Order: sequence, then C-alpha cells, then structure tokens
Amino acid sequence: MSAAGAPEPIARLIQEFARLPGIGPRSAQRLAYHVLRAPEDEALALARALGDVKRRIVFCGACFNITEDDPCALCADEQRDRALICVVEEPLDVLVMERTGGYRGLYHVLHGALSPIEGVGPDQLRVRELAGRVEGGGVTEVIMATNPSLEGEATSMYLQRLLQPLGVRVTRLARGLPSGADIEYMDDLTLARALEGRQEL
Amino acid sequence: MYITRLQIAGFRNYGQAELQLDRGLNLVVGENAQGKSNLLEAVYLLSTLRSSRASSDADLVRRDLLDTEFPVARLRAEVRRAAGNLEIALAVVGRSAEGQRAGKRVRVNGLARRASEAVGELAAVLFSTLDIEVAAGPPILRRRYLDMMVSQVDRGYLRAMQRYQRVLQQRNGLLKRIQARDAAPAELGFWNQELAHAGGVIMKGRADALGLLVAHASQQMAALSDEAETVDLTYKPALGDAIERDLPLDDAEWTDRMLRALEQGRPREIAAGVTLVGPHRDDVEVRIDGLPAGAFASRAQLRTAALSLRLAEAAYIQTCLGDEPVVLLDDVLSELDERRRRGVLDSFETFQQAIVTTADVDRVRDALAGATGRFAVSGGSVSRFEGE
Repeated sequence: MSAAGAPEPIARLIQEFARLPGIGPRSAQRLAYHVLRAPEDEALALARALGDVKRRIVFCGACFNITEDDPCALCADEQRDRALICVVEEPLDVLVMERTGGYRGLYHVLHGALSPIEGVGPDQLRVRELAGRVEGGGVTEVIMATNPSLEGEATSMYLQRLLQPLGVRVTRLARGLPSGADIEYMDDLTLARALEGRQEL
Repeated sequence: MYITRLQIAGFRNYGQAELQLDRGLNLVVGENAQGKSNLLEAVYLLSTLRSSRASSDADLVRRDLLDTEFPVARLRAEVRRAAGNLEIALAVVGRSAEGQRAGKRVRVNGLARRASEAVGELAAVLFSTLDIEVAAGPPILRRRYLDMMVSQVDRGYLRAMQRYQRVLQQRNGLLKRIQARDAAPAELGFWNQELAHAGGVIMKGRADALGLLVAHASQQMAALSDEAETVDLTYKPALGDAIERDLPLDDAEWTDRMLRALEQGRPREIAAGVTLVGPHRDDVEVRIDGLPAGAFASRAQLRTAALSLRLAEAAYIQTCLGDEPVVLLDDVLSELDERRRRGVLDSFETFQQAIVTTADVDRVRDALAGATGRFAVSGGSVSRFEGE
C-alpha cells in the first residue's frame, strides 16, 4: 500500500519511516498515524531525539565507537587494560561485549566487514587506525570478535596477517555450542565447528 | 525407500491433491499440460529442495494464489525408509509481505529444518526427456547432474557447494576491484584459501562419484543396447593449464592443486575480472563408442546414454545410502523402442518404487500390466483408476 492519497505531510512521514530497516510500507503507515494521534510534546520529543543523535553523537578518535565525548568513556577509563584490544564490526557489538561483564580491555570498531561485492575493502574500514594503535605500542593482544560469517572471517584473517608481523598476539573468539542448548537440536554446521574447536578437559 | 502418501496444495496447476502410493510401479496417465510433470516435480522438490525447472520460488505457487494475501504452495510426503520412517513437508511462500518472507520452509518429522539439512532425506532420481542434453549439451548440465546426485548423499558436499558459491561471488568482486586498481592483489589471500578449501571438497566428491558411476553407466549402456554400445565418463577438473596425470586422492591434495592453479592463473584472472579456475568450470567428458558424445553421437545413442546415466545415478545413491531411491520417469517410456523400454522397466525391479508418467497409454500398455497403482491426472487433480 502506498502513501498516495494521504495529505502531503503524512505521506512524507510514511515515506521516511519506510526507509528504516525492518519497516515495511504498512508498518510505516501505522507509525505515521500513531505519531499523528500522539500528543504534540511526545511527537516533538521524538523529533528532538532524532536531531540529537545526529548532532551530539560522534566517533571516538581512538576506538571509533559511537560516543558523546571524544575519547569515549571506555577509552578514558583508567581502570581498563590497555594492552588488550577487542576488534568488532559494529558499535552494537561493543554493547553486547560489555554486557558480559567479562572483558576489561579496550575496543576497536571497524564499522563493517570486508565484502568485495559490496565494495568494502580495507580502506573502507577503520583498519589503518587499528594498525596505528598497535604500532603505537603497549598492546600485547588483539582479539578478533568479528561475526562468524564469511565476510567476518575474511576480515579476521586479513587483520591477522596485517598485525602479526607487528609482534602482537592475535586471537579470535571460540566457535561452538551456545550454552543452554540441546545437542539433539544443533544444526550440522555448528556441531562440526564445535567438534573442530574441542578443548582438553 | 518408498512413498506411501503424497499431498499437494497450491503447487503449479494443482489445487488440492492427495495420492496413496504403493510399492512397485505407479503409473500416472494424462493428456499434455494436465499436471503429470508437476506431480513428479513435487516429489523431486521434496527430495532436492531445489526445483528442476523453476527459476524462482514464485513460479512454484499456483498462479491464482499469487494475488492473494498468503500465496503458498504446500507439499507433504510420508516415506518408508530403511533408516526409519520419514514425514517431510515443504511450504513455498511465493511473495514477501508483512510478517512473512518469500522462500522455502521445511519440516522433517515435524521439526523445522534448514532446506540444506533436509536435502536427500527423501532420495529420488528423475528421468526426463531433457536428459538427452546431459551427455551432449553444455558442461553446466553435467555439473548439475553430479551436484544433484552427490548432494543427496553427502551433506558435506552440499555445504561446500554453498560456501563455494558465496566465496566465488566475493572473489569475483575482488578481482574486478583489483582490475580497477581499487584493491591490492594481496587481498586475494583469504579468498583463494577459502575457495580452494571448498573447491577441494567438491572436486574430491565429483571424482569419487564418477569413479563409481563409470562402472554402473557402462554396464547399463551395454545392457540397454544388447552389448552393442559403450559409454565412458572422464572427469575434467578446471585446474588451469597445468597438466598432471594422476588425480589427487584426498580433499587436501585437491585443495593444494587448486591453490597452485589459482596462483598461476592470477594475472589472467585479474585481466578477466572473474575466477577461471575451479569446480564451477569443471566438465565431464562423455564418450560413446569411444567418440565424444557432443560431436558424434546419434539421437538414439544419446537417448540410451541418458538412460544409462540416470540408472547409474540411482545405483550410486543406492550404494551410498544403503537404501533405494524413488525412481521418477517423466514421459520417457513413450519415446523408447520396445526393447529399451523392457530393459528400463526390468532394471526398476531392483528399486522399491517407481512413479512413471505417460500421455500415451497405448504405447506403454505392456508397462501398465505390471503397475500396482494407476492414476489419472486431469486439470491439476488426480484420481485412482483400476483396469485399463
């Protein structure tokens, strides 16, 4: 269903919503009419939040995570282990890693993964900046936490070849069974990977 | 193995249809364009999860459903197998809409599974009048012949095929970027390794399969032609110009050889902007009576060779699974002479179930006599009939 026929401002709002990921034309319509019916201050709060996110969020000059202050709170935290860098594809991955509470080092956000068909090479990612941080000294280990996809693996492998000659230990997250899962229902590939990566008890 | 029950809804020209099938020979009779081939396609789709004819999932859904809110085709089969009974159900959603994605959903014994993990649960071999092209047509048909067959019995092969396709696309993208000087040749490292890794599994699988097939195919060719004709199959892996006499023995050796071919071919591949080495360009040379089939064979010879290749495929699956595949014959009998028809039907006695379609009952009356199940197809519906 299209926005045709609706008054111009609402048609425009529907179109804007429809550009968001995961929002189809019908959801866009529902959202737009919701905004229309909502109290004015609620709608304006949404507009302000949208403006602020573009105006006040910047990339951290060190790790390229999203932040309000540069350097970000994580990079500025003196308690964190500066010898460890965890490499992730997206800012969201940092949040997820932080939720585990098990990691006390720093991060580096690449903003994507190598994908030649989409035109993403090393120059389109924050690769040079990562090499710079390692060359700057003080780093003993770089942990690859890219996605276990083809593109994620390509990225890890590329970075490993780039960083290892700089005299740093390069590791990657283990691949295996999710905890709480039932082996009976595990797909072949996950199980095969888990078998490859088995560990001494 | 054999199918006891087949249900079809909203698939191709079918509304609702249900068949109770028997062991042995099931004959499906109907005029052209009534749904005979679609019936066999339904069975083959449940086996391979990949259509033999359609280019998109939407093609599989009954046309008048495509305009409705929920355009979906459903197939379901109950199967008796040596490895335990099977119930396999496939839903093909023809169009994405709110809350549903286009594509295939598979359930095996009631549990949702990925399509790639359900391939070959129901093993089947499809004989079609187009098979004549396998021996003499373009190489892609011979690669597909091998792939559909080996995928049914080897999950690792299927997984390697899927990975290979994805790596190949990325690597071709990278070659184009290198050609345009947007990327450095050094970036090929990972993609070469991954391509050769998956490629090694595929080439090993094809070489092994051909090793088994050659014997079966030449045996069938001899039997169908009263020892008058021979067929021979030779694997031609696409590994560049390097001519090496012995085929490698294991995955790792194949991978190794492919890596070397990729290194040697690098300048040519960068110039071409596509990958020139690897199983996506393999071929199988088919020789009939010692001569290349494409250039020298007659229609009759090609037809006999096509039958031999399919019979060999069935024997291959039987050997690998320890269970007989369901054999599907799409309108093939009527174009054979009496002797070959007899030969084909006789060789089916080694299988538990065959489903055979024909438009011309008179020409296959001899076959009809031995049928345990008889069905008439008309306008996308099926009914059982007895007698002649």
